[in-house]
Amino acid sequence: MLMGYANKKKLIKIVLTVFMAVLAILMVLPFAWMLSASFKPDSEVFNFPIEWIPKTFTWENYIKVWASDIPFPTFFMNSVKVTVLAVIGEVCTSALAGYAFAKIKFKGRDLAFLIYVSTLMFPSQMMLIPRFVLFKTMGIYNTHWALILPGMFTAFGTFMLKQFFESIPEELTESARMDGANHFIIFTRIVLPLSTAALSALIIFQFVSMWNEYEPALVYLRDVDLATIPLGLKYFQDESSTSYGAVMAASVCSLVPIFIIFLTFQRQFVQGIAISGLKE
Amino acid sequence: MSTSTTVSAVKKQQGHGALSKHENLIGWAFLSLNLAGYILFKLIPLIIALVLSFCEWNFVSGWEGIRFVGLENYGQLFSDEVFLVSLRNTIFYAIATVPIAIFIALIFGVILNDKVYFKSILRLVFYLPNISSMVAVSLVWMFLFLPSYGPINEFLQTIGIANPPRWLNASSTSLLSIAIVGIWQVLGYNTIIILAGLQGIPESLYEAAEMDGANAMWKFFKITIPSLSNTLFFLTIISIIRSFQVFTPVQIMTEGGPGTSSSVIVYYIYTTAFQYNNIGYASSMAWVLFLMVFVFAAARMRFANKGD
Amino acid sequence: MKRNIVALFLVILLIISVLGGCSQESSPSTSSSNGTTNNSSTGTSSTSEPYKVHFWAWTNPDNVKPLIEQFNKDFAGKYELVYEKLADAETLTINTALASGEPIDVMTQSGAFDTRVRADSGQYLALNEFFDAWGKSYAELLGPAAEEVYNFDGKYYAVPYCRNIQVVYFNKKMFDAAGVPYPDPNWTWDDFRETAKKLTHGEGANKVYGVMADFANEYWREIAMQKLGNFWYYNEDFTATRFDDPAVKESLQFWYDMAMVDKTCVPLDEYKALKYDNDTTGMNGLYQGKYAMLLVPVYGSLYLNESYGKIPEGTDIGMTNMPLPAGSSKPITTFYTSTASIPANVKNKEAAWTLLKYICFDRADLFAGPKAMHPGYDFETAEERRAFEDIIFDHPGLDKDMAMQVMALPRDLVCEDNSVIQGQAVINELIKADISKVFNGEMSVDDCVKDLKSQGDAAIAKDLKK
Repeated sequence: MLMGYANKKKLIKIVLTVFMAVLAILMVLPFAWMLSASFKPDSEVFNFPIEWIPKTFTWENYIKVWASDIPFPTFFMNSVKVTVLAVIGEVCTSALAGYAFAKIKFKGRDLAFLIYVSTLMFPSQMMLIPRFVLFKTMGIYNTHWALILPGMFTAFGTFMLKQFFESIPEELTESARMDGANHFIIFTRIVLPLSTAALSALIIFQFVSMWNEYEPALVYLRDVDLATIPLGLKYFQDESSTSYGAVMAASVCSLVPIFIIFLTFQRQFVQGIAISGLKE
Repeated sequence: MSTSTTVSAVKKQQGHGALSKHENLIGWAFLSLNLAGYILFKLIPLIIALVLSFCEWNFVSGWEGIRFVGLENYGQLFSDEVFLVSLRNTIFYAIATVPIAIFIALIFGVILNDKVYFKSILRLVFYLPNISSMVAVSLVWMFLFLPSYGPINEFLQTIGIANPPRWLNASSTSLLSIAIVGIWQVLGYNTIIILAGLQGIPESLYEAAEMDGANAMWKFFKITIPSLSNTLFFLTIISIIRSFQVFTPVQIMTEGGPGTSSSVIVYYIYTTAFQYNNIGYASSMAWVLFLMVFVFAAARMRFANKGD
Repeated sequence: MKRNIVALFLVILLIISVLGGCSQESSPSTSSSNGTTNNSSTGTSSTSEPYKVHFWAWTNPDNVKPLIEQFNKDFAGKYELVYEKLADAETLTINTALASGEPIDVMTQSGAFDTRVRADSGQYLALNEFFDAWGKSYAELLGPAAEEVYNFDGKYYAVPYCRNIQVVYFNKKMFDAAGVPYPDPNWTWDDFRETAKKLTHGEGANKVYGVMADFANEYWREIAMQKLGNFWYYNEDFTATRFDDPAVKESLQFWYDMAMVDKTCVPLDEYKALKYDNDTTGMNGLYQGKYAMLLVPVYGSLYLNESYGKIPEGTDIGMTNMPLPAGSSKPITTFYTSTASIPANVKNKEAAWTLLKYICFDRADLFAGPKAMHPGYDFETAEERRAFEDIIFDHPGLDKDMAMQVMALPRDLVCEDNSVIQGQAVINELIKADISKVFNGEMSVDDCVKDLKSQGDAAIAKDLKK
């Protein structure tokens, strides 16, 4: 009976794996196209029907990206710097603010939260010009701070963490309070350790969105030496055409850090560890 | 609202006076760091945009070229056919994508949580559409959707549909096609949020249910979904916001066409502001969008508070 | 697990602090570079450093290297060219650059609408004084068509640095195989249509089309432009549209018949899905035999070069004029331009003009030439033309002699650029919307023309009221 149950579970697991793997093919198509395009000469990139395996295989694009006059390594390091600083900043400020919204009853909380959430709706594109004006007066135009600072204080992260913090049972935090713990201790000792999954998800999201941010970089940065990867990709664009082979090679390279971040942090999605350990 | 009783109990305990004053202080202190940046980088630009929405300004001219026009921009909005069509399309897009994408992600989340082998690779693969280059994404989909001999229509023809839809190339289906791409693209993203939410559900709840002989369906509807209520609330709001801001797929795949059948609000804002230099008018559209959500969210909050 | 995260954070922090250190070193050095040039007199060397002229364009830096080197050689000790690469030619990109307060001596741009907006906003210097001092007239140098478009109430704020002349490239081998004679440069649109029919064959994914016309360049309006001239959809005093002119309907109907009736032209859905709007892909389709004729500006031949991928052995591409409307006596060719301007707040006008003149006139062969574009000016002699086109048409697989013979024929030019403000923004969007309906079979030609007329007129009237 017990063996049968385990076997049945195993079977379901295999079936589901196959099912998800089949769906995964649809998910992987654009990535496969990127990869194959990055090994093609420009004239064959858009050949039709799609040639998944390059007819003419070439490393030319990767050489163009890494070893030409275009300072791609600089773009890469700029992206790392901007993204990492913004993500760390965001996680810190959002966690504090999220805790305030979720676990502290203070005057004006609901109104402040309402404003936070609804400003998310304001299209970021319409922030470009006002921020451009603002950054020029602040003197951070054409510096990385113009990208990092707005990335550090987001309503999105606050909202997300607030929701996750709220789902931590009130009994847990309240009993700690009874024991005389202050908010800071509850925050660092109970709420944060119980929220590694949410924090990891936020890190992944924010990393990806900062890493791919194009328009702010276009508007707030001027020097070539400061450009991030999405802006730097424009160097493969000429008067009237784009070297898509090189763009795809650069895009493939720029996915590597995202893969690392993703695979590192998704490991935190392990059910039960946190709560079950504490529950008893 | 399962915790509402405990919350109200806590409320009573807290009482008045020094303690709540202290709580206020602590609350704002925790918030302050984020709030300072938020005011500087979000509220101030937002207010600049509000001022601009009452002006006619093309940005190139510098501040000398700004002209105050009062409510003219707002007045113009509601007789602007393209704006109204874009608004309607955007709402349709939100309705078409949000519930489906959340529902599928919920199932995927549960499966990818621990019911498959190679789960970290599979999770990454489902997240790939979010991070692949938009050129690659749109190209692959435009090819799949190609009316004459794209794979989707070839398949439909083999199963006997003589006149398959023209997808991106027909007014009646262009927005729907973009919605399909939208759902496909957002699945991985939603799945991660669900996955993060699932980690907060104590294993013991499932174990107890299994003892009682509950089946998978029962567990899903009676344990998983209720326990995810906070996560799902967040996911719903964020999905609505994201769907209202859909832009890049439209820009790359249809440019709002055929006609204005797939024009969405941010696409229209973008072309108005940055292609035709009409920053003031575009700002007024953005503000209308913002106000709509504000009213909606405020109403929802009131409602939720009354529920308490 | 938790410890892992902490460790990861520490590593990341370490990286950042290192990076932060690097950037702090580098950022003041870039910003102080202007300062050092001014202070150079305090240094030991007595020679004054050359004045830096800042040139902003979106051409790939590799391709402007010869220009930069030559300029710095020609003006050694006096000027030094600093090249600033724009991310692209979009309105937002150039507007923010202009508003950034960075030093700009020459700004390039595409699109006459934006140029007009910037000029009207006082961003640009009127260039008349320089032409006067030079003793040349703008119209004589740059031709009447461009002059009419870029004459803003008697002032010139922009100089075209290139002419993108619309031509037809064709795959000779496909003509030979079908037994169709190569087109005569004086051919008409009817000839063109018949030729396309003869060259079209096959079905589905293997269909070979007679023609590929870049929809984004709006080929459907070419006949109207040939017949109506500059500012084709405005009436004489720019107070209304002339979409009701029979030439407009004729033009649209012609292309509608090609694409939707004869089906001899790559249809809009395939054009978009197969990325033919990318010039490299467009030329690739021609030499790979997906279609026999390609309507593009002259620079389309650039993509025959090896740097874009190897072309097949024996590729043989011919070139001829865009067809003429029946009854025209000599070729009427349309073209569009990109232009160069000098910001109004430029520090050293003389230097800026020197650079502008250098890229537009003196050494156009180093700026427009390598991009396979004609210069913005008219050639004075046949030798001059030959020397320049020697650069433009020097690509593998292209019948250079044929191309040069065709280009040497006398022709009338019509400028596609539109510098009229009233109504243009709305009309451009309107055209995009309606045309996408027509070429997806959702709107008739008559309805389209009617809609363009009524809505276009309303847009102009509304803007004029302001």
